[in-house]
Amino acid sequence: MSVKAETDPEEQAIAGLEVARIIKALGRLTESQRKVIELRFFGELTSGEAGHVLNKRAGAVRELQSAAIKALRNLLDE
Amino acid sequence: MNMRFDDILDECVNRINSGEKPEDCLAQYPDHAAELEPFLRTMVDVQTPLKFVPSSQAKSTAKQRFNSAIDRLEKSGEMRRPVFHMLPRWSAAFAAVAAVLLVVLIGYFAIKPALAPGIPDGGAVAQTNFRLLISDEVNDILDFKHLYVNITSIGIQQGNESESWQILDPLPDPDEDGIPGIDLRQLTGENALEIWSGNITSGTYSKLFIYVGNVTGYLVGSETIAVKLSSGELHISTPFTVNDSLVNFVFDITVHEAGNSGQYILRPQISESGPNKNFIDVSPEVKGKPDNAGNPDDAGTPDDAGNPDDAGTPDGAGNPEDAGKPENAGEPS
Repeated sequence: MSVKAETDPEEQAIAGLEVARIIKALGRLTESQRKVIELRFFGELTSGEAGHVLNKRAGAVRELQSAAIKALRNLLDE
Repeated sequence: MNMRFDDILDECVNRINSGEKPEDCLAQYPDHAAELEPFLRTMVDVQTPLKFVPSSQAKSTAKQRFNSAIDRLEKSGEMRRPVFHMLPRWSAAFAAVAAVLLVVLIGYFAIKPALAPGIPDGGAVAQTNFRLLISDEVNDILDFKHLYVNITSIGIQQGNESESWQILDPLPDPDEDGIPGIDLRQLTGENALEIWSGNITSGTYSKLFIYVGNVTGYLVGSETIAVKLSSGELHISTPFTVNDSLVNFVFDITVHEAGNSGQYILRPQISESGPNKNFIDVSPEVKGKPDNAGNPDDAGTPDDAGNPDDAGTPDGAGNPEDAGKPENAGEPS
């Protein structure tokens, strides 16, 4: 599902609820987990580049990424 | 070679960011597919709703309106003429006197530092040696009426990877339009807007990033829909050297669709970014000056310092009011 322009009100409402659900789930992650999700999913940085921003090794970022996605999946499935 | 799960997942994330489908990655790692699938599904579930998808009709309408606006401007003769055409018709003698005075003034300001006594080092104010400007390489930006990008911080790294980052604070409203951040829609082509200027330690720098806080887009033809993209880093690894000369660093951002998904992505345009790039400075403090095309004082070769003859030419090359040039919008009807 994506937020689309010029859709009917029902579709807009459903899309808005989904966005709100995802944002709520992101808010329940730890700060480090949320940060790596933002940088990798939305900033589209590589794990090495994200490591520079987070001051972590690329390997540590990959581990954090796995844990973050797992936690996010559990939150979304609640 | 046995790859760790974290490494496989990381590779798949990279590939999905590049536009591939999760199924492609799952097919490549069948032994890990069952474990990978929920992770990749989570990524898609989270990414997709937070990226705006304009309808095909809206995009088509936007392009038609843009082409019509270009036609209207051309027919009404409202395209900006070179600044010299706006000058009053002075007599040849008066014009010659004015030219001589101009040369004298330029010469005076050029030698003034040598004429004036130097000030003690203790009282010297550091000269600006670095400016960061933002520009936009035209791709799908024309689908938007406005695309506001709020840049919350800038980072530069000197030397190798073991060096720490220096964080700079950008101007809160660089284009002074009353809206925090910058409107990328106004920075297409060679238009560039300053977001930071000052003095940084001389030396060679290896990387630069800008951190984007909020991105809000308003599609052409839509008065109520606002696009929200999550925050993120835009990062380039173009080396540059700073010394006593002013360096104008252009950071070019582009908006484009990810494949045929209808989703939009903000990316750095590495080929158009760096020092010594041609640009038209549309920063508020320099806007309106005829000689605002690039900076001849940039470190680098004179050939890279921009061409003042490009400012305000009849075809609109590099003209701020012609952002989104006809050749980028398709053929006028």
